[in-house]
Amino acid sequence: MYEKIEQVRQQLKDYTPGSLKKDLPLLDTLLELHYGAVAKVDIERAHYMTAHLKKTEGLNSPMAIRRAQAISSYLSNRKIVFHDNNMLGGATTGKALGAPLYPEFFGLSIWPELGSISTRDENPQILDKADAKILNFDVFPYWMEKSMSEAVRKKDPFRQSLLEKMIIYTISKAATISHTTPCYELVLKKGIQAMMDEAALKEAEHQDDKEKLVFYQSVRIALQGIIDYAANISREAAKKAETETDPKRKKNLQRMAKICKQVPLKPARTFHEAVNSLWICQVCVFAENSNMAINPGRLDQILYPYFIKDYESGDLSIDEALNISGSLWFKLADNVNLVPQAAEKLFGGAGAVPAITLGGVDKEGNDAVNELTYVLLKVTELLPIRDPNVNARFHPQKNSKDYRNEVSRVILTNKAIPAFFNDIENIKTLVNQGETLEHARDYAVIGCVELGSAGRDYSASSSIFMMMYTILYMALHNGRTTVTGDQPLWKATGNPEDFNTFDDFFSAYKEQTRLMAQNAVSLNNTYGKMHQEILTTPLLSALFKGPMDKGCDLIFGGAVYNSSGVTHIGFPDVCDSLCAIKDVCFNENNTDMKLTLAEMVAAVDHNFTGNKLLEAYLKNKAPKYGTSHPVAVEMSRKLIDLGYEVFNDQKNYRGGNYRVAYWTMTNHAGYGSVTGALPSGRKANVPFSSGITPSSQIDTRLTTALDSVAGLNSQHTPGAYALNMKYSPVQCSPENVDRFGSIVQTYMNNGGQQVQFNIQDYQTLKDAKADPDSHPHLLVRVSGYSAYFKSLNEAMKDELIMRSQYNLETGEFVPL
Amino acid sequence: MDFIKTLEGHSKTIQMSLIEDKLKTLKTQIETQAAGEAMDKLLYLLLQAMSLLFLFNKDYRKNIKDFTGTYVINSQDKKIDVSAIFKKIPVFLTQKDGMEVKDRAVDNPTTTVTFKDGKAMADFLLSGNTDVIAGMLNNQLSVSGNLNYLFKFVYLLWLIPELLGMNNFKDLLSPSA
Repeated sequence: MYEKIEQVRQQLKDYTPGSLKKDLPLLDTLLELHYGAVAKVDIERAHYMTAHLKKTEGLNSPMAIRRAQAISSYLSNRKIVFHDNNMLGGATTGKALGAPLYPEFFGLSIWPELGSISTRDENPQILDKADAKILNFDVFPYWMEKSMSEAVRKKDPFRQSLLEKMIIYTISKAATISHTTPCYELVLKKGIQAMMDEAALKEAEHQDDKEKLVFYQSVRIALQGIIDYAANISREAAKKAETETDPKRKKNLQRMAKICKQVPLKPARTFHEAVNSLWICQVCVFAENSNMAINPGRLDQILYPYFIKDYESGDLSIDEALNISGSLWFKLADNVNLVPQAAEKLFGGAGAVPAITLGGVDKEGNDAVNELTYVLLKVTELLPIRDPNVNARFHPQKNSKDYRNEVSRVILTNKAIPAFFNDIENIKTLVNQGETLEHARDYAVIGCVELGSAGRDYSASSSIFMMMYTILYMALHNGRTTVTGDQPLWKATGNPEDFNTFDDFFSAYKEQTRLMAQNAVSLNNTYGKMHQEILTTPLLSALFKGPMDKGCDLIFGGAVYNSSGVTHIGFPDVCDSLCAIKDVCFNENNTDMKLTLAEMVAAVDHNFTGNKLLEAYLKNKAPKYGTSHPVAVEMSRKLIDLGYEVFNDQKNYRGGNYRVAYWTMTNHAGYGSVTGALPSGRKANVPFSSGITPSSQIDTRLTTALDSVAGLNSQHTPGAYALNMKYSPVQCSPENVDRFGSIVQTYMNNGGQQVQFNIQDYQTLKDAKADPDSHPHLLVRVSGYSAYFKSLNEAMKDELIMRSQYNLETGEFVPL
Repeated sequence: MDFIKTLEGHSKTIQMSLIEDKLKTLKTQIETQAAGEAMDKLLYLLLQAMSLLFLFNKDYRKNIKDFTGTYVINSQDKKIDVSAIFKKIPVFLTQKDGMEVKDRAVDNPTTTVTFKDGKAMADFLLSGNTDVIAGMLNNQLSVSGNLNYLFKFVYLLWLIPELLGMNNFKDLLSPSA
């Protein structure tokens, strides 16, 4: 096997980003088109689904069937488009870069912007005037009382109102079902027809069990939509080929017609068929589920049997493998989320974050890196685009140094992708969550950084966002928040002058954390129950392991595992704040700076006005997470343990666990820009630090910063975290590649779960901010996903500039 | 409502002429209010203009076909406290889709929008910004009740300057308008 890998690697060596135009002109053209594409709002699904649901309203038919029919009907009738010469049939929307609108979720939030969304300052999304009219008159009125948020408001108006305060907690079920990894392998192996036959058989077996009967019927109905959609692509491609004059394009369309006639209806026989089958299924999932973090999974494992068969038989050249895989990359990047203006502030610049996972170990625990892993790494190197979000699993004891260094080389080359994931810690933490060892070993990365057994865990990994700033604020203000009036929101836990020791104060912090967790879980579970009532997922259920055996939709707990995720915004800043409180207010030995907690709160509430000395002390002298200061080390571990403790005994509406995580997308910048100062010395309206990353500009060595994260108990961060590191650009020499890989490996050996990089210096990012057009495609890692620097909001750009930069060769911190 | 009632019994042409006159008067009042920085009454006047536009402009009225919903818009200090009620309104001998404005809060609204103060409301209206969520995020306004109704309402509100041939409410309030 290693010889074959080496053979493929040798063949791949000649392909470089500089020679893309010469070696792979198709991908070069697609890259140009991708960079030039403007996001357009696509209303086709919204229009179709709404019309269908209106038509069937009042009929004596279960909601699950009505929904399956609406999904199927949309897929069977949707417009077939060929935007370019991509080798794969199927597209997320009718636009080259589409932002599909989901009225059942948060689609109505763009209502006020119907006239201005095309021209707004931040990331405009083009909306046709005729489409705006349809939305205003036909689509939106239908959903005014029926959207998810309004349905939940009727059940729990108080907690829903807290959600709308924005800075307490966020429940993403208001906007999506998603964040999970389907089992596309099932389709590649069986074909949809066989899956439909299976559903029909089960339907016949369960005539007396109404719930199961409805479930299997709904699966069968939804799957018919996939078959029809593929058949329509095949037919249209053949038709278009007849009149196509460009011979290359004609050949491509003819081949597409043939492929889409075979898959996903029947099992895939070739690599090309397998890739197209997977892509069509991904597109169809978006008919049911919003386009956010639906992940293709472990592509180098799923597609390997097809790749190696074709490669070994000589039917597939490396050129073709790169072109087909590259085509998939562009397809995965053909959509973005539709977001209102304010969401641009919080989530701006994001794609749809479909995560691809490479490498690691197989179900038996053996090295899973194969020839295709290297092909897909090469595609990642050649195509520095926002989506897909590529992640490299690495098992320090099982995977080779060659592989580790190849991933490192790709990161140093394209300066951002992929992210590294540690198999040892991640498998351990998933086993601790109740997954079998075999299933845990088969984990895939979800969305930004989250973990879940591929195709088995209906993970809903972005369910809850906890605002740690607000928890700390409540602990410091007797349970009050900045947005809910003068009374304690949940419970009075003491005024600053009431606390005699740090432990007393930390008890209040713990209590507020517990209360926020309870309330967020309660609301998330209400959302989940509402999804069960109106947003069943027959199509996605068919593409998972579990539901077909149990006769139960995913949304009711049909999957093998049923986790939900809870991520935290502001961990580093709150950790530093707690350290500062302990150091300044409760440390008798501190002779440099001493304040009562009440004085500290007053200073913070006044944004350190007139307290320059205190501000300077807090910024420069107080203990900081990311250093080896014992107070900081202890505090960071204590906080991680607390997060785990408060969620560990909570169950979601499907009976699964809540998995605690620390990734922030761009929320840390957005929320930071609208919140007050903190005892860490952070002033008001300044971005928080990203994910689990120590605060920016702390003067500490690279290894110390990495050690501080690696020392956190990964069993208590089962949803994983985003650690963002920034290195000064260096020459991609074998020595630097090896040094890069060694540092990652040491970090993993010490317990680190995940790490991702920006290979950028301060000046380049400052220049890109000052003159965005000079760096139009500058790709950066945000806090989980990648984005074009140009498309990020100002706060996020500032945060990226401010991030501590390290010299890879010396390990020294490079001050701004 | 009194104004609308007085219209009953008049011919359509006279009615429309009266509405136009009323609209002009409102514009003058709005200008005066703005110039005098008496922002608290601004919204009430704008809503009156909106209500007249529903009567006057058929295309604008299409947006509220069969629409019912009740809005209360106020400020934390209660200096602003108005209601907008969408319902069928008697015009001549027929019922038309329309909006009634009251200078007080009505009971059981579908949606309540509370601005931090008159300035926050004026900033929102005059900024040309349609971003309700940003307003919530910046603590300038809070909403209780159905958020989708608010999204629709803001859309309707922002059609007004365009219908009056202006870019935004700032133009509406400028003396040259």
